[in-house]
Amino acid sequence: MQKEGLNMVEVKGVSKVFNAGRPNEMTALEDVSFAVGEGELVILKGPSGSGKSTLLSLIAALQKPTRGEVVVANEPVSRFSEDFAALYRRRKIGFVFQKFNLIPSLSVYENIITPLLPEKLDEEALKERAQRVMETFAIAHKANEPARNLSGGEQQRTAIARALVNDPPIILADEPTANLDADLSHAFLSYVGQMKEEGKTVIIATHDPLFFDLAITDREIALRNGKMEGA
Amino acid sequence: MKNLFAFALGSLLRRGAKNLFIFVIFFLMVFVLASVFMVTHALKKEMFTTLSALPQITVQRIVAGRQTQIGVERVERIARILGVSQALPRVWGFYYFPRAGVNYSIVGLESFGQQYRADLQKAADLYVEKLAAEDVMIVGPGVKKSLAEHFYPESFLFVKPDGSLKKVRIAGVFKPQTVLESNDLILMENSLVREIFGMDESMATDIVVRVPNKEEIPTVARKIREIYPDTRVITREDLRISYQNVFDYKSGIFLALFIVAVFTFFIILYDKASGLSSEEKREIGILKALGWKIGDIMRVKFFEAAVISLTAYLLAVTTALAYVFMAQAPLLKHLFTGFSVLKPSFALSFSVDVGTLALIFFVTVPVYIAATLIPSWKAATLDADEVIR
Repeated sequence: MQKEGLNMVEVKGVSKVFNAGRPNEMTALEDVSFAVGEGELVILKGPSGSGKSTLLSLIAALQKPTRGEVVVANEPVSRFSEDFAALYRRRKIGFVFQKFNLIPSLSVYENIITPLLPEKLDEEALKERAQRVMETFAIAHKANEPARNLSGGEQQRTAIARALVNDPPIILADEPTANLDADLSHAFLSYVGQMKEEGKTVIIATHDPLFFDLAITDREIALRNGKMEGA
Repeated sequence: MKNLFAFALGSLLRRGAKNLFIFVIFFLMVFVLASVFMVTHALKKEMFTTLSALPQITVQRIVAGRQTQIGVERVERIARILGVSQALPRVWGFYYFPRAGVNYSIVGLESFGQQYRADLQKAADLYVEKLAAEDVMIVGPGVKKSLAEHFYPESFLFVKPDGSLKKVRIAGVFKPQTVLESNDLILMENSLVREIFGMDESMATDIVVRVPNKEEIPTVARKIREIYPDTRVITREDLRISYQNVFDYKSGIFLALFIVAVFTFFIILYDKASGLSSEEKREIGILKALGWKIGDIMRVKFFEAAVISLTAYLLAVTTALAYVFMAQAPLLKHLFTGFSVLKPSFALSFSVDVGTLALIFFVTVPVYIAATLIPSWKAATLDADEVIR
């Protein structure tokens, strides 16, 4: 059930067609609509190719929908210009990517502060913010280690720390356990619990059954072939 | 901005080997170009200063294809040609000093007469009494130093053609117009030069002619040739063209070097402009996904390119300055001036052509920065989603 109160994310009749009008045209999403309330934890589930990742990238304003609209905190993010969209991602969104997308040659600390660099923060402020998330996710001891030398679990914790360093209200995670073993996947669940406790709105796209029917989950939205199941 | 600059520096270090290679190529290209231009500019300046001091017309007598002494009686006839304001016989020659292994140029002065060059006139006026009264010489600073090094600090013993010795005291040091002259010029009274070279009173080495109207120089030169068919008449313009040809020929060697350097540079530019590596594209995609604006990414890329190109340029120009004017351009200077040891050594005087340095700057630094920014801009304007999937 959706919680009472402010809708943090609203997806309104969104469709996304790739290569429109070409022989390789592909419809990734078709008329998808739902809303996520502030502080909710929502699981987007469905098999590979069902459109989960595309939906997350539309919410993050990494792409624009072919039809429909994405509204976040009452702002039409799908109509944002390139620069506004960047600013929106920097301040409102924490993104945990499927393959973590750390920059291998940067240290853990440097990876974590990357989203903050365009902001006018001095070195002390950068260190303070990075230290806070590194301690929360038990990665502070690897602060100077290049990301390429990290284990899977360390990469995961670094990616989550980076997503949270700018203290965004919304966390998007795309198949966060796809490359992790069972122990690390369970560890990720505990981090998700932490985020929810902090009042973040969390949307996780996954086909990992570990996330299904969890007590902490507010809602599950199932996608198949780009459409919402039951829609 | 400070954070982005620090990120750009870190980024350069992370791709250290590749960036070091680009830096070295950039440095070498600018260094070679700047050094060659500095040497040629300094030499050309020296050469044209020397040229400007040369007489407008020099008349030499040629026998069997070789220059020989000319009779001073011809001076009067040449002076009567319309357009000629002055004709003077010159007595001068080269004196080989075996211990130093160099040739000195001994130039004669008419102590109470008129000289054909303002600086010679000045020297003659200054030392007129000494030149007339004693066997003395006035030397360039380089000659003074060279003689002192070989234990002739006060005077020198010239060996005359008959083998007898002639002691000549150094009366003063002459300040020449150019460094090239300072190192080999010795001034003496005409009669003393004749004695040392064994020349007859009625003969001179050549005759110099002054023509106030530049337009008349070719006509006067033609008339002299007509009157005295056994002479070679050289105008200052002939000399300028001849010097320029030698310079242009030698510059050709460096044109080849230049082409090699530019070719390498453009390979780097092509590599840059033809696109980024998948790693670089992916990094740009990640930065965009993390909330970097296209402008932020372009700033970082600009800083990266500017740091490499500006540092390489400034270092190369500074190194070239040190190489040319402090180390006296080993190898390069001799390629332009010749390896002959018969000429006394001379120093390249400091002279920088700012226009040429600016030209090198504009054909390298902005071009490199543009070649870096264009593909980065292309990658930065793609959907981040497309780049990082």
